[in-house]
Amino acid sequence: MNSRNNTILEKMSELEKELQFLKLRVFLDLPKKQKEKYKVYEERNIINEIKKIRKKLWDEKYSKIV
Amino acid sequence: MKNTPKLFRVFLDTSVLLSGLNSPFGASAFIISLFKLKKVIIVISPEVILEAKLAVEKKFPKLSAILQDFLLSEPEIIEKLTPKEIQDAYKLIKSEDTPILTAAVKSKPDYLITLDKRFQKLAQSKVNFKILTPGDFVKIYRQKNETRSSPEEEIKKQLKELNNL
Repeated sequence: MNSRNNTILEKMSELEKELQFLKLRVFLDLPKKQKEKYKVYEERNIINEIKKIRKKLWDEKYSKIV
Repeated sequence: MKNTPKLFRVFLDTSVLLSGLNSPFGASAFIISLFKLKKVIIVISPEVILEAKLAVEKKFPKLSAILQDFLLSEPEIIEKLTPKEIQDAYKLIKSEDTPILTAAVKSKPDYLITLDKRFQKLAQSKVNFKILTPGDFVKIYRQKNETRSSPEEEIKKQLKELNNL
């Protein structure tokens, strides 16, 4: 592979990264309502479930250590 | 000259990990995407993985494949906590959050990211790194990266250079 092709591939890789970064920024700035359409589960339910699991693990496992 | 910002080292609480996998457009997902673009270092612990797996098995089965995929993307996973580490940390914070906070301290992060405001409030004074919500972290990340060229400018520059080849 000649050096020109190498340079082109490097530039394309840079371009891909920048496009991904641009996409992230656009996603982040979407209106809240539009973002919520893509949620699988409610965030509140996730937080509450983690709290329950953490408490259970603490009671069954870690509390015996301390 | 292109700026190369310092890579933040962020410890993700389980709630942030699952929330990021659950919704592709939120701040938690943004952090996971930054990790995939190698712009931040994500650190988790075996305790975080256990909680995430239990939650997915029990209540959120549609996140199972995406959780596996994330774990295969090789986030940094610190070693399992020893009983002594948990005992020492429990002297500082008496809560069921002790194992997660202990793991975060052990991982020496720049930030611990959590969605649990109570945990944030309880733990902030006990550690020497910031405990933030995903939204607050993203604000800081964007501020710190303002000095870098915008993606639009970088794309134009790279295209111009390609044309000149």
